[in-house]
Amino acid sequence: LAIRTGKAPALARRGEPAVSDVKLPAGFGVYAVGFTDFRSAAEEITQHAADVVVLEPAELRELVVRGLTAVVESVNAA
Amino acid sequence: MTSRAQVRRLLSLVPYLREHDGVAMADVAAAFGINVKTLREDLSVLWMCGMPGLAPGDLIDIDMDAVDGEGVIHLSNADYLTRPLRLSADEALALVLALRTLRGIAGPGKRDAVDRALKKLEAAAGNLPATDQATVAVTAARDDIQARVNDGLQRGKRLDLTYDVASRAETTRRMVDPLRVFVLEGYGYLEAWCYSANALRTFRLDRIAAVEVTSIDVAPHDVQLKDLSTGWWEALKNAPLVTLELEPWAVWVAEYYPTEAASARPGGGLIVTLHVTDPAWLRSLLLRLQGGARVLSPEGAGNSAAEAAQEALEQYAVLLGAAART
Repeated sequence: LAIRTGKAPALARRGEPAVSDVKLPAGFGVYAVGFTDFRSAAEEITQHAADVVVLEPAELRELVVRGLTAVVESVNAA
Repeated sequence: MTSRAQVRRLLSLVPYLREHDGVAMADVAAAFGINVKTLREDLSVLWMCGMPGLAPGDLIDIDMDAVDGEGVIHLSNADYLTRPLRLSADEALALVLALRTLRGIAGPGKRDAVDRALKKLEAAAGNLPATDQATVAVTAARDDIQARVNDGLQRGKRLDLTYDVASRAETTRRMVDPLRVFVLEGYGYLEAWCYSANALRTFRLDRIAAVEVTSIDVAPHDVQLKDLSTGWWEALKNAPLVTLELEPWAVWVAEYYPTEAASARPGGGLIVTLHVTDPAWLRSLLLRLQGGARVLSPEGAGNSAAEAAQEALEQYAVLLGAAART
């Protein structure tokens, strides 16, 4: 995960510093964070919106992107 | 000082004075956190207490000449208070659970005292099985943090607090004057005057990332601490109401958070109305539910979640390009 500095402390403290080839904007750190399953991971990550970016695995990133899209669609439908 | 507080103190004073014959007034006052004048008033009341009948031989005896002269206390004729304590099962369980709850926020330096009290109480409860029938789980701070919070509270010193704000998912740093620590619904909290908010705030102990006790004395604050005897509900009741339509897989929200109203939705799911004190909390919940909740009212309450989600989607597109599109 790429986590914006000072944000999502529950994730950052649980993670281990890691590296990534993705070119990130200033103010983000990379962490390897463990989860029990993708569904609960997506739920936890999505609530942080742009403060947390899933770098890998792609399957988790797809779940998060789908979740964020669903939020936009549900608010716009209201 | 309320009469209830005085009675509570008098009940503790008698066994204390029996164990510390000839103790100085100043030492007793310090041990009970009162001044000598209040202690003298307590002794005047105690002097008139005793067994039914209240004849001279029935009253607790205190050498008032020694109190007013040498400033020491000799207490006698209170032998009935050495009779072993006999508790019913419910009384034993209530006291043991309360002590175990206190242990959860006591901090490492005080746990020994709580453990000793628990041992005595469990011994006084005798063979009553009740004390094993329930356990207490309190989520509080790390030991070192708990110790510093308690230290600041007891010595009346300002705290330099690093705190993870759950609703905004960010770490903040602020100066606070600690006012009380309490346990509610399984979590330990610090209630304090926050100099960043310039208001009273409640901090969950397990979300305190770091704390330092400063040398600054706590300032006097003319505040009303929350009445928590009915849980968080009373504290929430004046917060704005939000009505959500929940998908079937999101109905856990109604079980987890206090709701003002909940009704079944045709086809499954719920419509719930709940109090929301912090818009950031609602935004976080809507994001977390990933489309599982729709805001029915008030209009626009879901907009910040949609904006945050849209910003995140655009960021994925920029950072990860085609790989991020589903």
